[in-house]
Formats: sequence, C-alpha cells, structure tokens
Amino acid sequence: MLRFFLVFLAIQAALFTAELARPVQQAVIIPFTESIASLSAWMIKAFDSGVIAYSNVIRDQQSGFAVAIEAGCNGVEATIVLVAAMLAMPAPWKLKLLGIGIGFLTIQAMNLLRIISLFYLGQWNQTAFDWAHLYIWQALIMLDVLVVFLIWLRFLPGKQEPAHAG
Amino acid sequence: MPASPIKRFMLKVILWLPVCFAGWYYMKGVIGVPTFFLVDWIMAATLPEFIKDIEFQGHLLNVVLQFAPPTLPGAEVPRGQVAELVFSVNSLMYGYSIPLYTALILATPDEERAKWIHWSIGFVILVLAQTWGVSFDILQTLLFKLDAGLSSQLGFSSLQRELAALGYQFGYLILPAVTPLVLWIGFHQRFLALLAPGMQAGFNNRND
Repeated sequence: MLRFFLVFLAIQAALFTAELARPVQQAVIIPFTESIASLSAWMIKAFDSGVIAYSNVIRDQQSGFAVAIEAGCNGVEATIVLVAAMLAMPAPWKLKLLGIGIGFLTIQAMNLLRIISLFYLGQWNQTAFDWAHLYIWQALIMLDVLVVFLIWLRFLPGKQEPAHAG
Repeated sequence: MPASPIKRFMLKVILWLPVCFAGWYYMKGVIGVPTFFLVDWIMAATLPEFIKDIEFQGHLLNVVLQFAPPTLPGAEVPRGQVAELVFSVNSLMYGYSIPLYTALILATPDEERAKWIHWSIGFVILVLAQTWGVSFDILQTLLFKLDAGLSSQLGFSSLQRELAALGYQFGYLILPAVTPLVLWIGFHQRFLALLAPGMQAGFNNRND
C-alpha cells in the first residue's frame, strides 16, 4: 500500500507539473478547455437558445451573465488524480487503459453537469453560485473520482496462480 | 457487476455531505482558528517586513501589508512614511476537504473510537493542507497581483516566483481535493478490501 501511495503521488506530481507547463497549456489544456465551453454551450442551446460561447466563456445573451471555464473547472485535475491512482495500482495494462478512458468520460460528464448547473445558479443567486462553485461541486467531483476508482477496483482480477513448468 | 456495497456507501456519503458542509460552515469561526494561527506564524517568520498583521474574521483572513510607498511624480514622500494595504483570503476555498473527509469517515462502518482517531489525525493533516493553500494564496497576491514596484520589494528571483506559482496551483487545485481521499483510503484498507476485493489481490500478486 505504501508503494501505491508513493507511486501515486509521484505520477500525480509529474502530471500536474506537466499540465502547468506553458507548451502543454498552449497545445492541450487551453484548446481542451475551449472545447468544453463549446460543448457546454451546445448542450445548453438544446433547451435555451439565448446562449453563446466564445473562447472559454459561456454567455447568456439576455442577462449578460457569463461564466469562464478556468483551470480547476475543466476536470483535468480530477482526471490527473484518477489516472495517477489507476497507474499506481498493480493491474493489467488493458484494464488500466480501459479504466482511464471510461473514468475520463465519467469525470467530463459530471463536469459538464457542473458547468451547466453553475451557469444557471449564477443567474439565479450569486451566493448559491459561490457555494456550489467553490465548495460543493469540488467535493462532488472528487467523490466521482472515488466512485470510479472503487468500481474499477472491483474489476481487478483475483490472486493469480504462478505458472508451473512441465 | 455487484456494485451494491459501493452504492450503499456512496449513498451514505451523499446523505452526510450536506450535514457536514452545514456544520463546517457554521463552525468556521472555530474550525479556522488553527489555520489562522499557523498562517500568521508562517508569515511573521518569513515576511515580517511586509506583513504587518493578519486578522481572522470568520472565514476571511485579512492581510495587512506595510511597505515603502512608491514615489509619484510631483509628490514627495515624507521620510519614514510607510503605506498600508489590506486584502482578504477566503480560507474556506482551501478547507472544503474537511466536510468531505468527515462525510467519508461518518459513512464508513467502523468503531466509534477508530472514527474519532481517524478524523482527528485527518483534521490535523487537512489543516496543514489548508495552511499551505492560504499561505501560497497570500504569496501569489504579493508576487503577481500587486504593482510590480511593490512586489519587487520582496526580492524573489524568477525561479522563486515560478515555484511560488506552482505551490499556489498545487495548494488550490490538488491538495484540498486529493488529501481527504488519500487519508480515507490509507485509514480504511480493510473496508476497501470488502468494497473491492480485487485491490488486496493486486497487492498480494505484486508481493509474490
């Protein structure tokens, strides 16, 4: 277990530092964040036509209220935590990659729900928005990570018998 | 896939979470005291010539800065004159890990005594994580949000500024989110083995 924690922390530190590096930000994080804003706006437009998205901003044309999707709001950090945990766990590579892929989609689905809910909460009440944004959704996203990790752990194979020659 | 133990556990966590958040918020004046003292001590030890005082006001830490005022064209600053500036840091932004961890502890079946011990140790570590976040928030305000003439008085090199930025991001984005999960997993390996039997098998296979 100690080895798991050490590997987990090392991978997490490496991925997080890489995420903050300028080239990675320019090539991956900023375009990814902008695509999340576009996807959120596209989903909102399905039931609310007065919404536009540009860069990392989603704006309601009537009220002028806008949210900007910044670092910490794009689900990347939560994904890093999950990836680090799955990579640190002794498991077959196929299972790790499958877990990372499904985990990424699950976190992003939850994150889209977060962005859309915050967009409407902010138009309704600033205090509710601040609470949900700064505290509640942060905790819920990490619970999402924990659930995905626990479910993934249940798929790990049981104790493998050593192979016998002859 | 029989995920019912995880479902049951998560349902309990979700039910405990609003209770824990409410308790945490209404007791913020008490829960935030250790972080306030630690931040006050760290700032007094590291930046005594800039930070005159830190005041604790509910969840806000009001930081009182003292510095040599910048010279303006046509204005003469009297000898010995100092300027003061106050800004606030919301310590709760770095402390939501406490209600999350408390909900996880309360939802986990365990002996009462063990729960108290796990919570107490976890609380101390989460306070340290919160102190990290608040301290780097203050530092990044001093380095990146103030006028360049003022922040240059701190005498930080470009590498030190980069490290301060990294420390701030780490304290804001990672520590409050990850620390409660790491603590919970660390303290509840037996319960985890019940929820996910494959985990223990994975560790055993590695040891073979």
